Amino acid sequence: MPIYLVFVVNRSGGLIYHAQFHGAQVHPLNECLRLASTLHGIQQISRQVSPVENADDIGLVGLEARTFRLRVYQPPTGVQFVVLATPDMPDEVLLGILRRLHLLYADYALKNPFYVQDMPIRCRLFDIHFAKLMKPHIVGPLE
Amino acid sequence: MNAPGITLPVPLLQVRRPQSIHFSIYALLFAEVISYFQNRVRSITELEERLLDLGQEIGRRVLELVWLREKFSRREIELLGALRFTTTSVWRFLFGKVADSLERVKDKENEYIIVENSPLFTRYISVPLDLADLNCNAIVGGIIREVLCASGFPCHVDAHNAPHDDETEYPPRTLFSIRFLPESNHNL
Repeated sequence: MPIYLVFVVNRSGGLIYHAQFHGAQVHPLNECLRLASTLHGIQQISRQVSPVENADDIGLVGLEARTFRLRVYQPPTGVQFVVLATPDMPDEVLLGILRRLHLLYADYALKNPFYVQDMPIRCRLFDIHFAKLMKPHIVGPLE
Repeated sequence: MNAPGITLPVPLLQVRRPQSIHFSIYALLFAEVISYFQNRVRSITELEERLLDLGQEIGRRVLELVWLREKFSRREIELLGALRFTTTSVWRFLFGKVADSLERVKDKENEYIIVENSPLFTRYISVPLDLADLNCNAIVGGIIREVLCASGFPCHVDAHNAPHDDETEYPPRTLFSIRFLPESNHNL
C-alpha cells in the first residue's frame, strides 16, 4: 500500500514542495504546478458551495477513486498538505503522515532563516527528514 | 478586585535547575536574529562577526549567572580548569548536556578544540549551498570567548564545520577552536 505523490501547496495555490514515488505515473514539473493550483481552486470553490455556514470548514478534505485515494490536510495558516495513495491505505494513516509533514514544515522550513515564506522549500534538513518519514510507505527510491 | 498579576522572578540563587522553556520559541528567535543581521551585512564573514559579538554579550551574563548558581567559592585560575568549567557547567546551563569533547591541538601550546556533535542552535537550520562556509554557531563561539575572556583568559574563538565520520550525515559537527593569547598563560 504505497504512497504515490506528496504535494505542499502554499496559501495562494503555488506548489512549494513535491515528491513523486516509484510505482505511479510520473508527471513533469509543469503539470504538477498546474495540478496543485487546480486543486487549490477546487478547494476554494468547495468552501463556498457548503450549505452550512461554518468558518472552520476547509472544504475538500479527500477524494476517493477506484485506483487512488487523495487526502488533504489544511492547518489554519492555509498551507495545504496533499497526499495521493493507493485506495487500501487507511485514512488515519494518511492523516498521520500529513500531520507529521506539517510538523516538518514548521520545524525545518519555517525555523530556517534562509527559507523565504511561500517560496519553494529547498532545505537540506527538510529533505532528509521527509525521506525518513516516507521510507516505510513507499516502494523503491524517491523519484 | 485582583490587579493583573506580575510574576516576580525567582531569586537567582534559589533556582538550581532553571525552568525549561519551549525550544520552538528559541529557534524562531534565533532564526529572526539571523535574518535581521543578514539584511545588514555584506559578507558571510561580517555576519559571523555580528553573531560573535552578540554571543559575547550573552556570554558575559551567562558566566555571572552560572558562577552564582554553581556556588563557586573561588575563581578559576588554571587555564584547563576554566576550559572544563566552560564545557561542563556552562554547556549544561546552555544546552542541558556537556560538550562532546575537549581536545588540545597537537604541537600548539595555546590552542584547544571543543567538539559539539549536535549543535542545538542550528538544529533546524539548513545553510544554502552558496553560503556553505557559514556556521551559525558563531554565536556559541562568542559565548565561549566571553566566558573565557571574562575569567581572565583572553582568547580568540572560531567556529568551523567538520563533517561526521559518515560524510552524508547532516548537519555537520561543529568545532570551536580556541586560541589563547600569550598573556592568558599565568604559569609562565
